[in-house]
Amino acid sequence: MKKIRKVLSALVCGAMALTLTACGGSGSSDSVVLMSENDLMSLDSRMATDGTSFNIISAFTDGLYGYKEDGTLDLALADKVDVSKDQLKYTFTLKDAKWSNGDAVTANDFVYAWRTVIKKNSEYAFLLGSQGANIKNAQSVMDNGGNPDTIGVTAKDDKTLVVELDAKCGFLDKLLAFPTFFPINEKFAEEQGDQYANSVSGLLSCGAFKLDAWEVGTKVTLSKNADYWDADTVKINNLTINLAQDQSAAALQYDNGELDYCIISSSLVDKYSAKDFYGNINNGFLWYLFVNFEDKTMANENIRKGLSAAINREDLCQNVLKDGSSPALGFVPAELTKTEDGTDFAEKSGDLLAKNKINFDKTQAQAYIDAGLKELGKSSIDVSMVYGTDEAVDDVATYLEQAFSSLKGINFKLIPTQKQSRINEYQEKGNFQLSLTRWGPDYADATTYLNNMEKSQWGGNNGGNNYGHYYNAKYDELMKKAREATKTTDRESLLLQANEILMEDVAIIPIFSQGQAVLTNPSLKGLVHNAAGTPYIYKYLTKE
Amino acid sequence: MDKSMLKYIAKRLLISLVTLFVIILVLFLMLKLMPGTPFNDEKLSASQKAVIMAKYGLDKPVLTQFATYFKNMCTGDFGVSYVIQKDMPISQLVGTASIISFKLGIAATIVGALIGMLLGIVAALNKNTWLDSLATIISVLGVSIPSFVFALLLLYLLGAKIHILPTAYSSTNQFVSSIMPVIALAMSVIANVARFTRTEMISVLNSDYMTLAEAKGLDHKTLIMKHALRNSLIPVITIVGPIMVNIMTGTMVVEKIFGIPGLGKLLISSIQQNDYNVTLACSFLYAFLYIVIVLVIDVSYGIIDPRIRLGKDE
Amino acid sequence: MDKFEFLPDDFEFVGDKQDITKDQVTPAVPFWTDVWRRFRKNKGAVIGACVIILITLMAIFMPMFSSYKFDAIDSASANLTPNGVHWFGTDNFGRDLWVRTWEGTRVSLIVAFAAVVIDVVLGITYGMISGYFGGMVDSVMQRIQEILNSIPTLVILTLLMTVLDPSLFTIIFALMFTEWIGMSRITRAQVLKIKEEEFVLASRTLGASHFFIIFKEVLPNIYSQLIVMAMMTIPNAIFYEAYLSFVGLGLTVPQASLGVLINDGFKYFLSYPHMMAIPVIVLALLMLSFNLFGDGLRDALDPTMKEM
Repeated sequence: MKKIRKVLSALVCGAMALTLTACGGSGSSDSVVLMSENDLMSLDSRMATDGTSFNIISAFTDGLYGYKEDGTLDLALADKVDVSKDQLKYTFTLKDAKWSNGDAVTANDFVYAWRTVIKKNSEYAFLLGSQGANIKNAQSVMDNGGNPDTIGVTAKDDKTLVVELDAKCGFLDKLLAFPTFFPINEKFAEEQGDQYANSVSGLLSCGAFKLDAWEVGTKVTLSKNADYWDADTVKINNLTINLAQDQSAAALQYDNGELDYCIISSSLVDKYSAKDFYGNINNGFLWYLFVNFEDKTMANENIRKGLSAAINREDLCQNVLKDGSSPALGFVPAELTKTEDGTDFAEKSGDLLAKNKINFDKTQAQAYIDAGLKELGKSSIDVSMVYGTDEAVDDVATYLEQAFSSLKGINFKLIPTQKQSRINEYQEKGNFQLSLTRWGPDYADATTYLNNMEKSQWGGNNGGNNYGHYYNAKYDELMKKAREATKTTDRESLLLQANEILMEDVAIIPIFSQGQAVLTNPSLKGLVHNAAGTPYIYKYLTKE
Repeated sequence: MDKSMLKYIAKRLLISLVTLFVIILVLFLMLKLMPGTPFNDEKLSASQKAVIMAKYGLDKPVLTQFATYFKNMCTGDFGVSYVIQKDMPISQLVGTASIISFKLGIAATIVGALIGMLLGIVAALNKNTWLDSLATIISVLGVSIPSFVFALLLLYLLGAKIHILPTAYSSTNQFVSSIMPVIALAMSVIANVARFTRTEMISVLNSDYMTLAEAKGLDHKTLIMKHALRNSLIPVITIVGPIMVNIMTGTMVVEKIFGIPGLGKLLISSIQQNDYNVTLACSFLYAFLYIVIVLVIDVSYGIIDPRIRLGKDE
Repeated sequence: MDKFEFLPDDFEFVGDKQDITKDQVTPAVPFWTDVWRRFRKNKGAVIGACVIILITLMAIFMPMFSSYKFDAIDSASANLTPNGVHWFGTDNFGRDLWVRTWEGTRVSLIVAFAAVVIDVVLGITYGMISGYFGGMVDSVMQRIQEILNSIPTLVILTLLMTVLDPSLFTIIFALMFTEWIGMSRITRAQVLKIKEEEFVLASRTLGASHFFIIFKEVLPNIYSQLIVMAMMTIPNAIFYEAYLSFVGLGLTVPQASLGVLINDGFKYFLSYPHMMAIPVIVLALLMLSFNLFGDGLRDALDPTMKEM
């Protein structure tokens, strides 16, 4: 016994002696430590598809366009741009900028990058085609397997990049700020071959920060890029991004002062909501239910209305989620884009749920269901909802289960599965009645949501997202006209009408616009957050 | 070691290779049977998916794919990850993670086994006294409370409330930052080993040869140290082995809490997202370790305990 | 041997303290009465058994008597610590934790029972056969076990999910794949120790069948360790079930088990510790009782502990 006690006390003393090393992190005023909920998937700007990867790539790489501190876009690597009269030809003149190995950033870097996006069959290659930038030939190359070297991007010389389009693209600047369109040093990438982007030594930086270290699955460390063309704006010397941190552990680190920015889930909100460093941000995702129109029960409008009216969205957002999520008002969420006169698109549409009487009202919900049951000639129906257990929506599923089960005449069942199974097995095969899903905007325009509900998106070759097989000829007509519209106000009004039709038909059942609860070190400023595109821009971070 | 033992080991090694092969084959087939593909982005069209699948050779018949995989595996090429870290070679992704998980796992097992044995011995020697009850309670708590709860508790108490230990694993400061994770992981080991040791020790203490030795006049200390301990500790290795393999191959939540870049999450995410190569590599690693450790245990058990005879009965 | 010097006070006259003329034969009692008597004497074991019975009864009856339903969401009363109305408090949905905990205990008890049965029937039998027969039988059986162990259960279960619906039955079915492996290895190790003993040889010489030897000679000598370790595998089974529910293969929301409650409560550990602490305490209490009961059972069944 005595011996053991001695050993134990020695260990404790030893541990205490080493506690000097326990401190660290972001004590100083030029280092920042941020938390990322998820791991990054790839640091190859052509292959990345997730927010975390985008954030980090945007920190060490710049594109033709970039974000200013107020979240608006401005030219970044491009010094100036000449747009042809028909808006089909863009000539960019590049600034003087260097890669971290000393090579200059040239127009060819962009040409190589965009061509290889298609060559590598990147999941985001579609942004070069008719759903995105409309780069000349891009869509036909992707559809018919042509040569990617023929797409409409050429380097006239080292500093001049010419981009030709098949059709006008009203948000080209937003797309060009997206990592898929970032430049890649051809010589370096070819030398690296398979090793490109697999580690720090397989990447070059030309952005506000340099990539210093990457512990896969744990963290990424960056330091200020002294050769950056806008180096004076960058005030932070050391930036650490913690990947896929556990929220409770991160909250403790925040309390310790080792973390400057922490995302917390609803379970921790009550602990911090009264503090002044607690805040909410709009995550940008809209959560909604796909309704399968091929299913007889779901095809009944009264049933759909009843289900929608059974969900107390306010209660769900305020008391269960508590993270700043807000009830959905329609398919297009708030804070996505503004109309010509400066009002928010969703606000202009108004509360489409209330308008169509499908917002929360228990008696009304039951009335709809009763009417629906009568029409179907049944006394009770089976309703099932598929959801992914790996998507962190268990609370929402629980809430919906309770909401739907309380309706008389509904035998409700939850079908838990994984996200990929939900999409590939249930949704794609039409093997569902309701499916809990989300959509995040690829760019800040209403069409990023509205495009999904066209007939052309029913699936198959286009990989469409209209799994419920909703079809309304009038809707498709409006969307087509909006694409052809020349005046912005015309386009807007058409899109607003389309947005309204969706809720009149209850094409989908929107639930909430996802928010996020965050803890921010009061001395940390300049973190730019976007609802669409790259979620976070780190360039303007400062610490007082 | 005599010749028959060597023959036994050689035979076992050969059988192990065959077993490993069967495991990989069965697993490969099962993975291909699973619904879905590794490329699940909602924005991919069917034709694009087909092209990507062809690029990685995933459109060939299953057995052809297996042959290619096995051939590559023999040269050390375990393929690349399709989802978790796009296009990163498995040897890099799984390799670095496994080294860290192994170190922690071995440390946790050794610490846990030592403390567990100590606890078990004390409990057995003081059977039915308060010491015994205390040891029982510790064991019960050790198994009833999941390791991740211990992890968070430790983090909260020692990392946040009293800033004694670092709150996250750091590769530059491995020893100190591993203390809390190792303790958290060791708790269930302590519990199991303690209970097991106590039972063994009690049955040894009750046996006839102990009574004889005591009657012969041996003093208490020699009795325990020379006779009781040796006989009760040997069987402990039978449970420590599998426990070690389980901990070494990663524990998801504990690793997440301390930010340890280990194997834990890799296996589960890869199965959920159909990242075949990662699943195969992690399972192979686990199978390999398990088989090796079982072999080592069986052989050493046969060597140390003369009552045991491995191989066919004569 | 050293020469001992005997001192006059080394020996004490015992006299009539022990009446050696009386030959007291302890009355013959049936085995089970003996066992019961020894069990009763062990205070810890009795307490353990009582607690188990108490918890089981509460798990069965408490939810019936409460006015709250385990899935009744009431956001206004969310996150309450134990008070007069909600004896265990509420969870983040406002559901009464008293009812949920006992409903959860119900499920966990079933899982625990199933785990022990599987351990005993599959694990011990497998280990005994494998260990006793040795040679080719042992080799093949061990290899099968290694293969089963190395295939990740998540893969097997995902494939099963395409044909089965998630439910308690699926969980128990899933347990049958790997739950027993640990037990079988321990059993086998114990058997290896025993099978070379003389009494086994004696039995065989007398012509006893293998079956007889395994269950009547070997098993009674090794069961003590087996009972203890079988008890220790119960939390494993409970948390495995929680893990299954977590990935969608076990209980579906809003059903609960102790494991699910602990997993869910873990997220709230830093803000509302009672949500996790309560199911953990119930589980720990249950485990303690099982262990005490198991120890008592073992001591009671052990013929070498027969009192004089």
